[in-house]
Amino acid sequence: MGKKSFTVYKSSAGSGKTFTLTREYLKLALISPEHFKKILAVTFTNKATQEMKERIVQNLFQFSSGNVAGMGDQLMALLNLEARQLQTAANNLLVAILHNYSRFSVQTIDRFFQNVMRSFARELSLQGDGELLLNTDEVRNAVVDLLMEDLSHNQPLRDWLLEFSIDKLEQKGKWDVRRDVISFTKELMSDDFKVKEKALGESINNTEKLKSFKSRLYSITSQFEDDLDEIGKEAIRLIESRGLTILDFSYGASSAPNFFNKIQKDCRDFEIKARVIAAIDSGGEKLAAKSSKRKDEIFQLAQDGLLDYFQNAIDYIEFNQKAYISAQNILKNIYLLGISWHFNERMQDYKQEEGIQFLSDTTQFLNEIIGSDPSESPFVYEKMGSFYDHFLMDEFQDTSTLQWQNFKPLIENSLAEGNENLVVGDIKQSIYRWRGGDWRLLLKGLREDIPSHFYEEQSLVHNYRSKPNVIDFNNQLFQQLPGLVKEYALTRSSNSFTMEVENLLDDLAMAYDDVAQKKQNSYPYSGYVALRFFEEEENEMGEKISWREPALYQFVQDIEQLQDAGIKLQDVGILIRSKKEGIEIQDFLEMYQLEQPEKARKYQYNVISDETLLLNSAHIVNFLLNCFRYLYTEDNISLAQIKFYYQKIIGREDLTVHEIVKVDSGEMHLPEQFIETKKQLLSLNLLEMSERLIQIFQLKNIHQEKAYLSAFQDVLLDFGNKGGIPDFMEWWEQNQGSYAIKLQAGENAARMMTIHKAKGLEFKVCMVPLLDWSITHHATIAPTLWVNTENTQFAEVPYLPIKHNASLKNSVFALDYWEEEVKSFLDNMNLLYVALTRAGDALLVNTTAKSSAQYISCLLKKYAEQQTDFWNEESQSLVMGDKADFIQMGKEGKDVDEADQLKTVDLRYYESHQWQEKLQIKQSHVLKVEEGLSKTDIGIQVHNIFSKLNQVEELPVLLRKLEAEEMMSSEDYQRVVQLVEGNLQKESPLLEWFKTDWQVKTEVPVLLTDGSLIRLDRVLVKGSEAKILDFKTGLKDEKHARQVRFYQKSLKKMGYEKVTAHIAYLDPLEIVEAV
Amino acid sequence: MTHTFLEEIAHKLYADLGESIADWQIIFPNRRAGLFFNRALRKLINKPIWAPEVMSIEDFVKQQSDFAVPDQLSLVFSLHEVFQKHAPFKENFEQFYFWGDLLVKDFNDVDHYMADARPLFANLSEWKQMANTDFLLPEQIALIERFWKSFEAKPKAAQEKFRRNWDILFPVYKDFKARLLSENKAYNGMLYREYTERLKAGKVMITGKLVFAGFNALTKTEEVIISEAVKQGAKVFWDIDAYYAAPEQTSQEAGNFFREYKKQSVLANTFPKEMPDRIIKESPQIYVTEVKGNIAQAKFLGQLLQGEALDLPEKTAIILGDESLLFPVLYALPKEVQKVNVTMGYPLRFASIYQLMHACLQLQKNKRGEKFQLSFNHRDVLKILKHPFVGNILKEAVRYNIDHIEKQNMIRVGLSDLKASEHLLNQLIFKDASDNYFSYLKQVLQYVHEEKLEATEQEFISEIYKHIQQLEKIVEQFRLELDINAFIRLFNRIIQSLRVPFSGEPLEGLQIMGVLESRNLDFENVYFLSMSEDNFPGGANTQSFIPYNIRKAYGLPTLEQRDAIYAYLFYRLLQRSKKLHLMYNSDNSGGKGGEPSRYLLQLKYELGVKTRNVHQQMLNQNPQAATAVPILIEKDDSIWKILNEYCQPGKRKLSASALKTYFNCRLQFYFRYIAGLKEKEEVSEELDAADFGNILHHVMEDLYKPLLGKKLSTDEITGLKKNSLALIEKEFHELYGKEGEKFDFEGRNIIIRDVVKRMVDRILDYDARIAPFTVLEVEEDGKYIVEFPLADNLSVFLYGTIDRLDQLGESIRVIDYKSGGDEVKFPDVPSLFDRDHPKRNGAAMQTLMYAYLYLKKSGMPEGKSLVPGLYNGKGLFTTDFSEKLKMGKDELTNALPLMDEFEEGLQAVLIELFASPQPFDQTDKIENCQYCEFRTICNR
Ligand code: SF4
Repeated sequence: MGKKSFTVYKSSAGSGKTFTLTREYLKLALISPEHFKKILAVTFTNKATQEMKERIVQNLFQFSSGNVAGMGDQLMALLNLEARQLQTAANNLLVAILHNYSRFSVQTIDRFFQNVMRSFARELSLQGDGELLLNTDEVRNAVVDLLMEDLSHNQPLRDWLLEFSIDKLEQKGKWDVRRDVISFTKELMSDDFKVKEKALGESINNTEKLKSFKSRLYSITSQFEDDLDEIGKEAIRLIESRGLTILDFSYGASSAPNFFNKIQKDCRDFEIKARVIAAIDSGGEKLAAKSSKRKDEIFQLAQDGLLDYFQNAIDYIEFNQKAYISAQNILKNIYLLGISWHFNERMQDYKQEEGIQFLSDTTQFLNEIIGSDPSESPFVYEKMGSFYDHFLMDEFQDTSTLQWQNFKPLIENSLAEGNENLVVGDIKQSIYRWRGGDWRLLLKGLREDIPSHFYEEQSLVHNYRSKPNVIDFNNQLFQQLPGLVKEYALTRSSNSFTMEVENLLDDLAMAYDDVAQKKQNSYPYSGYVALRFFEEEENEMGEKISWREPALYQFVQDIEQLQDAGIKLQDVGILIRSKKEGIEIQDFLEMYQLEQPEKARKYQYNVISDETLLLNSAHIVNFLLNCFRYLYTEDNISLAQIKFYYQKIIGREDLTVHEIVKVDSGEMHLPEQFIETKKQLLSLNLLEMSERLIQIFQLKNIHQEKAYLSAFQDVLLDFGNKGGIPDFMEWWEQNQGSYAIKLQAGENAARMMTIHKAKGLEFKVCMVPLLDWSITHHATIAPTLWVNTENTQFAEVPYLPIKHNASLKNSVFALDYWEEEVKSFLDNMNLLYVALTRAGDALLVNTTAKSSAQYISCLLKKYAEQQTDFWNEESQSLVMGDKADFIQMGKEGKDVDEADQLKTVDLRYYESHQWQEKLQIKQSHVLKVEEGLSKTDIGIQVHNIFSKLNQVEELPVLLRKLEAEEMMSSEDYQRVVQLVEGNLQKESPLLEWFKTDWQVKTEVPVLLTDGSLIRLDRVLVKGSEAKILDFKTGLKDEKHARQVRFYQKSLKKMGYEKVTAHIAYLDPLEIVEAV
Repeated sequence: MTHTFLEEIAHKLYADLGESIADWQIIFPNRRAGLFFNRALRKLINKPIWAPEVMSIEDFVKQQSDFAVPDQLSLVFSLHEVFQKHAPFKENFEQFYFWGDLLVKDFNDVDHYMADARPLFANLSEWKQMANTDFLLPEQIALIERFWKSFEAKPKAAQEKFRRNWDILFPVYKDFKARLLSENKAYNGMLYREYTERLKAGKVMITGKLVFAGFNALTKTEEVIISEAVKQGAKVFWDIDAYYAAPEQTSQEAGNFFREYKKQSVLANTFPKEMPDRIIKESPQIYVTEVKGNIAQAKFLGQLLQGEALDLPEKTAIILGDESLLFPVLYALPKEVQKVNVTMGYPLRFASIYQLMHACLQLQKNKRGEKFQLSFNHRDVLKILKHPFVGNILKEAVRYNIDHIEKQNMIRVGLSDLKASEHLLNQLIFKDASDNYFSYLKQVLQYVHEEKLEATEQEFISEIYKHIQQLEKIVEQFRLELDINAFIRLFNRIIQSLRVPFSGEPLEGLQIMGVLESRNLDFENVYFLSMSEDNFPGGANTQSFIPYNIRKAYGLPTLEQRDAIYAYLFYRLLQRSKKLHLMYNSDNSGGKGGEPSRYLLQLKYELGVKTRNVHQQMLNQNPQAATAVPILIEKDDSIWKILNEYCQPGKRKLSASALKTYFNCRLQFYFRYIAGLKEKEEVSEELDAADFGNILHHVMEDLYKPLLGKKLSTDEITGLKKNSLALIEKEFHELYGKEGEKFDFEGRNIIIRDVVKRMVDRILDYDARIAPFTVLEVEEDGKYIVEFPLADNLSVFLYGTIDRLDQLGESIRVIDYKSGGDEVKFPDVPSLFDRDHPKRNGAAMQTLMYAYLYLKKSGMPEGKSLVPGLYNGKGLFTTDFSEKLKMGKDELTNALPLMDEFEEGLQAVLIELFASPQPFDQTDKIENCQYCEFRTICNR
C-alpha cells in the first residue's frame, strides 16, 4: 500500500510549512506542464496567495537554471528524476505557468468561492452584476438607520432597543446603543450565526410568542425571588419575635442568619456560605458565640424553627437555582433576539433593493449549489470552466465549518477518482476563531469526514527556524502548559464538573499533542532564552510602580546589549498584544531617550510598526481633515490647527502659539489664496480639494510626512464621490483605525507588531516586553453565545443569545459555558505559542510575577519555578543559553540577502498643478432641452443622407437605417423624409447632380499638407475637371462660400484644372455657385 | 527614430501606390488608428491628395449590408420580449437587463464564430438523438460529451435550474433573429454572419481595393471576410514581432492568433517572409517599479516626467491600467507639460453627478404623502444638500437647511422646513416626481449644466443626460411600466456600466489613455501605471449562458483567447518604444490585489534574463513615525491679562468644570478658557451626551421646583412619576420642536425619551425610598459665587450651579446628576487634586466643590451634616444604588470634616494657576486626550 491520498500535514511553528506546501504543489505539477491547471491551492489571505505563487515561480526558476539543491533534491527523489530531467521539467512548467497565468490557481478561499458563485449566479437567481461587498459595515449602518426610523410604528423593536439601552447604561454608563446595535449585527453576519438563523426563523418572528416566552421567564425568576424573600422575611420575623437581632449571633452583621437578609429581594444574594452550612451541621450550636449572653435563647430559637428555615431555604435554592440562573441569563439578553430578527428582515429587503451581496453570503449560497453530494462536483467545474483534480489547503485551522462543508464534496469527488489532496494546518496556531475559524475540524472533524483508507496524518517534526535553546524551551513549556491550564480550571472555585467538561478539557492536551519538535543535526550556537518576572515596586516616595516599568527598563537594556553585540535592529521583532501596548512602548522609548541623552547618542531605538504609522497620527492628515472641517463648518478649533500647522510646521515661524491660535486672530496667519478660494474649494470632490490644498499651502515642501500624505490621498481617491465633506468625516471617524502606512522592508529599525500579525513571520531576535493576558474572557468584553436549547426547559426558542459569564456554570447551559471557556483557553494558549515561536536565535520575554490565577503570567511562573536547572529564584528569571552567543548572532546578519534586495528610488516630488488649461476635451454632445429634434438636428440628418447618397436608388436603404439607428420619433423621421424626398422630386435642380456620367465621389476625404483632412460632400470628376457640391441645411451665409472656395482651391492644388464649386441649400432648395 | 507601425504602412502604401492610394480603402480594427494613419500620411505629401477611405472593419461590414444595427439597450429590450414568450418564469425587465445583455453577447459570439446554433443549444436528450455529428471533430465531441455526462447522474437542483434556461435558448435565438430580420435589423454578429455567408456563397463579391492593417484576434467572420478579400487582391499588414509570433515561440500566447493564421492557406501568404525581431534586437529599457499606493504612482510619474525633455510630448504615452487614476495623474503632471490629450473611457459611476442623480432617486423613493403634505426622509435630503454641486448653487440656504435639520433632529422633512424652497433648483429636486422620473432627472441635469462647471464635469452631465434620454425613448417605445424601485435598479444598472468616452485633440500633447486605446499606436516613451494583475489583464469575466466546454467545442472565444489578446496588447508596446516605465501598486491590504501583473513576471524571468534591460526597483516614500510637536504655552503678558480677569469681581469666574478641565490637562484648559476655542455645536445626526444630560437635568428641575420647601413623602414622590413623561416631552419640544407645533417623536428620539424616562423614574424611586425629605433649591444659577483668597491682594472668583439641594433628616444633601459613567468612589482628598493620581475622580471633586461653595456661601447650621451625592446613570440601575460618595471603603456621610483639607487642595491648584509661572502644558496621560476636542492640534 502506497501513500494515502488525503494527507494532513500538521505543521508546528517553524516546521517549514510553506516549504512543504510548495514542494507538494510542485510534486503534483511537475507531472506534466499542463497538470498545474488541475491543482487548486487555497490560502486565507491575498498576501499568502501571493507569497505562495512567488515561491513556486522562484523555485521553478531556480531549478530551471540548474540550481536543484534543497527542495530540488527532494523532488528528484519523490518523482524519480535526474537533475537534468528536473531542470527541463521545471523549465517547461515555468513557461506554462507564466503564459497560462489565469489557470494558475493559487487563490484565497474567498476568491474561489466567488468564482463558483458567479458562475451560478443565474441558477441562484442572483443578479450577475450584483455588487459583492467585502465589508458589511456601511450596509449595516444603513440598515440600522432604517430600523431606527421604524421605531415609531414598531413597538416590539422599540421595547427591545430600550432594554438594550438600559443594559448598556448599567454596564458602561452610556446609553446610546446605536453603535452597539451595529456591532452586534456584525455577529449576525457570521457563518456561525447563519447556521442558526434558519432554525431560529420561526420561533422569533412572532412577537407574541416571544413575549410570552419572556413572561414565562419572568415568572421563573420572580417566583424564585418571591419565595426566598418570603422565607427570609419569615425567618427574620421569627428572630425579631424573640427580641433578637442579627447582631446577637456570632460574627454579628455577617452572621449565618444574615443569609435571610441576603436572600430577600433587595439583595438577591443566594450564595450559601460555609457559616450557614456550619450552623445546620452543628445543629445550631455554631449560631452563637461561646461568650454570648443570649446563647441559650439562640439555641432555643434554632430548635424552634430557625434551623428549618435554613434547611428550607437551602433546599429551595439547590433545587430551583439552575432554572433561575438560566432564566435570568436569558432575560438579560433576550432583547438581542428581538433585534436580530427585525434586523435580518430589514437586511434582506435592503440587499434585494440595492442589488448587493456580501462576501460572507457566498459560503451559504455555495452550500445550495455544491450540496453535499460529491457527484455534483463535475457540474460545478463545468459551469466554472475550471477543472480541479487536486486540492491543497493552507492554514486549515482557520477554516470555518461552512467553508469545509463546501470543499468536502469536491474533495470527496477527487479522492474517489484516485487523486491526491492535502491540507496543512496547526491547531496550536489557530488564533482567528473570531473570524470563524474552527480548529475542531483539524482536531477531529477531518478524521470523521474523510474515509480512513484515504486519510493520513503527517507531522512535520523538525524545527528549521529556531536554535536549540529556543526549541527546548518551547518543547518543554508547551508540553506542560495544557496540564497547567487544566489544573487551573479544576481548582477554580465553585466549579461543578461533569465528565463532559473534563472531556472538553482534554482537547487542550490533544491539540498540543504534537508540540515537541526535533532539532536539526548541528548548530553554530545554541541560542538564548530569557523569561523574566517583574513585580510591582515602590519608589522612594512610597508610590506604587507597576511591574511594567521595570520590565520596560529591562527591555531597553536588552536593546542596547543586542546592539553592543552587533545585532542590527532590523533583525529584532517586538511583539505586543494590542495597539495600546505598542503606544505604551513607543512612549516609554521616547521618554527614555529624553532622560538618557548620552545613551540616545550611542544607541538606536527606532521601532516601526503598522500600528504606530496610523494615518490619523500624522500632522499632515490632521491638517487636511481640519481644512475640510473648517471649510465646511468654520469651526474655530480646526482653524486653530490649520494656522498652527501652517505657521509652525510648514513655516516654522516664530510667532507665539498664543498669537496664532487665540480665537481673536481669526483667519490671520493663513495664506491669502486659501481665504479667497474657500467657496470654490467646497464644490470640488475631496481628492481634488486635497490637491488644491497641496498647491495653496505649498505642501510639496514638506519632507517628513509624504508617505502619509500619499496614503491619505489614496483613501480620498477610494472614497471618490461617495459623498461630500460631512459624509467623509463621518466615515473617517469610524474607519480611521484601519488605515496605516504599510511597512517597507529594509529600514534599520525593529519591527513591532501584534502577535496576530506576527503569525507566520520569524525574527532573529524576538522580544515580548510586556507579556501578560488572561486566558479567560474579561467580563466586560465577553462574547455572546448562541446556546442550543434542545432538551432544556427553554426549548421554545432553539437558540438563545447569552453573555458568557461565570454564573452560567450553575445553569442549564453549563456545558456551553465550558465549551466557550475551553476555546478561550486554547485561543490564549495558542496566542502564547505563536508569540514564543517566532524567535530564531533569541527570545526575550518580560512578564509579571504576581497576578491572579487566570493570567498567562501566573501559569508561566508555575512552570518556570519547576525548571530547577534554569530557574534563578533571586533574579526571578528562567534563562537558557549564554548571552555570549549574541556576538555570533550579530555576525550572522542579514547581509546575505542584500544582493537580492530591490534597488530603491526615492519619491522626491510631490507637486500638484492645475491641469484644466492643458486639456482640451471635445464636448461631444449638447444638452437638448426640447422634446424631439430641433430644426438644426433635422437638418443634420438630412445633410447626412445627402452626403452619403451615391445614387438616388440607394435612398430607401439609407432612410431605413436612419430610422433604426438614430432613435428618433416617428414625427421627426417623417420630417426628414419629407425634406429629403421633396428635394429630389422631378424637375429638382439637384437631379442633374445625380444623373450624370461623371465619376461621383461622396463624403470624399482630401488630405491637406498641414495634416488636416477635409471631407467634400459630393464631387463629380471627369478628366482634369471637377465639380464640387456642398450641402447646407441652414440659412445662407457668406462663410459657406468661403469654405467651398477653399475646397476649390485645394482641388486645384491637387492638379485639377477646371474646378467649380456649388452650394446646395436644402431648405428651401436652392443651388448657388460660389465665385 | 523607428517608424511607428502606422507610419510604416503609410510609407509602404504611398511608395507603392502613389496618388492612387485614394482608390484604396484602409481598414483598421478601430477608427482611432485611422486618425494617426492620416497624420503619418500627411508627412509624405507636398500637395493635397484624395485621401484613401480609412475605416474600422465594423464600418466596412455595415457598409456592405442593408441591416440597421440598433443600440444594445434596444436589443436587450427586444430580447426580453422574446425571452418572456419562451421562459417558464416571469422576469421583469430590470431583472433581465443584465442577463439579456449577456445573452445578446452570447448570440453575438455564436454568429461571429459562425457556430451552428441548433446542435450547440441542444439539450441532453436532443444531443443523444442527434444522428449526424460529422461536422464535429472527435475532440469537440469529447468536450460536449463530458459536459453532458455531468447530467447523467440523478438530476440535481442546480442542474435543473440550469436547464430551465438552457432549454429555451435555441427557440429564443431563432425567434429573436426572426424578429430582427422582419424589421430589417440585426445585431453585430448577425450582420457579420449574414454578410459573410453571402460572401462565401458567392452571392456578393468584394470589389473595392482593400488594405487590412493591425489586426490580431479575428472572429471567424472577420477571418472569412479578410480571406475572401485577400483572394481579390487585398493587402494585409500584421503588426508583429518574432519574440512572440515566431513559429517556435508556441508558449507566447501573444502570438497564438498569428501562428494560427499563418497556417491557413490564404492568410499564410500575407505574412512577410522575414518577421521583425525588434523586441530582442532593439530591446527597450524597461523599469519596473513597485509602489505602495495609487497616488504615489501618479506623483512618481510626475517626478519621472520632470526629468524628461518634453519637446515632442506626443511621443510619450501614459497608460492607465486603472481609470480612476486619471485625475491624480493630471494633477501630478509637472508644470512643464503644456498640453495633454486624454483618450479613454472614464466610468460614469465615478462622476459626482451620478451620485446626485442617485440621491434624487432615493429621495423620491422614500418620500411620503402628496402635494402639501409631501415629506422626505432627512437622510436623503441631507445627502442632496451636502452634494457639492447643490451647495455651490444654493450657497447659504444649504448651510442653513442642513443646520436646521440636524439641530432639530428632524426625521421627516417637509417642504416648509426648507429655506429658499422657492429657489428653482430646490423646486426641481424637492417635489413629487412620480409622474415622470425621466423629466425629473433631466430638469435637474439641465439646471446644473447651466452653471457651467468645469469641462470634464460638463461632459459627465451631458453623457448621463444622453443616456437618460435614450432610456426614456426606449421605455416609451416598449411601453414599459416602471415603478420607482424598478426605475432605480434599471438606472443604476445602466449607468454603472457606462464609460464617458473622453477624447481630446488626439494629435497633440502628452497622451494619456487606457490600455485599449493604445492599440495600433506606438510611442517612444511609455509610462504604464497600475500594472497589477487585477487591472491588467484584469479579472476575467467569464460569465456566459453557454458553458465552457460547449464554447470550446464550437470554437467560441474563451478565457484563453482573451488572455492572448491582452498579452498582445502588452508586447506590442515593447516593439517600437525606447523606454518603458511600468509601475504597480503592491499594497494588498483591503482585500484587493497588490499582485504584479503576469507580464511583469514574464519580463522578469524571460526577457529580463535574455537582455538585462529589465530593471526592477521599488519606490521608497520614507515613512517615518510622526513625531509629536510638543506644545507648551508660557504665561506671557497677554495671557496674564486674561488670567487676571478671574480675580476681578464681575468679570470671569472659575467654574467647577473648568477646574476639572485644568486637572485633566493644563493645555486643554488653556485652549478652552484662555484661547477661547470652542467646538462648533456638533452638527451630527446623533443627539449627544450633553443634550441628554440637559434634558435629564431640566426634567428633574421641573419636577421638584413646584415643591420647594415642602416635606415630601414617599407617596408624593412616587406620584411625580406620572408627570415625568409629559415633562420630558416638553423638554424635547423646547430643545428641538417648533413653536406652536406638536413635536413628533420619531426614530432614535423615541429611545432617548424612553431612556430618560427610565432614568427619571429610577431617581424618583430612589427618592421615594429615602423620603421624607425637603427640597430646598434646584439649579440656583448665579447664587454660588465665592471669592477665594489666594494671597494678600489676590483672590479668585469661583462659582458653581448646584443641581439640587435638599434636607434629609439632619443632613443637607448637595446633589449632582450625571447621566454618564461617572463613579462615586475616590481614594482620599489629596487624590482629587493630584493630576497624576491613577484614581483621580473628577466628578467627585466637582460634587465636593459644590458642597464647599455651599458651605462658604450659606454656612452650616450646628449639628447638621453636609452630604454631597451623585446620581450617576451607571449606578442608578444597580440594586444597591447609593448616591453617597465613597472615600476609600466608606460612604461619605458628612463632608464637613473634609472641607479644610479640600480647601488646602483648592488653594494649591489655584495658586499654581493664578499666581505661578507654571506654563500650560500637555497632559502626560494620553488617555485624557482620547476625547479631547483639541487632539488634532496636539496630534495625539
Ligand atoms: S489633546 Fe491631550 S494634551 Fe492636548 S489639550 Fe487635549 S488633553 Fe491636553
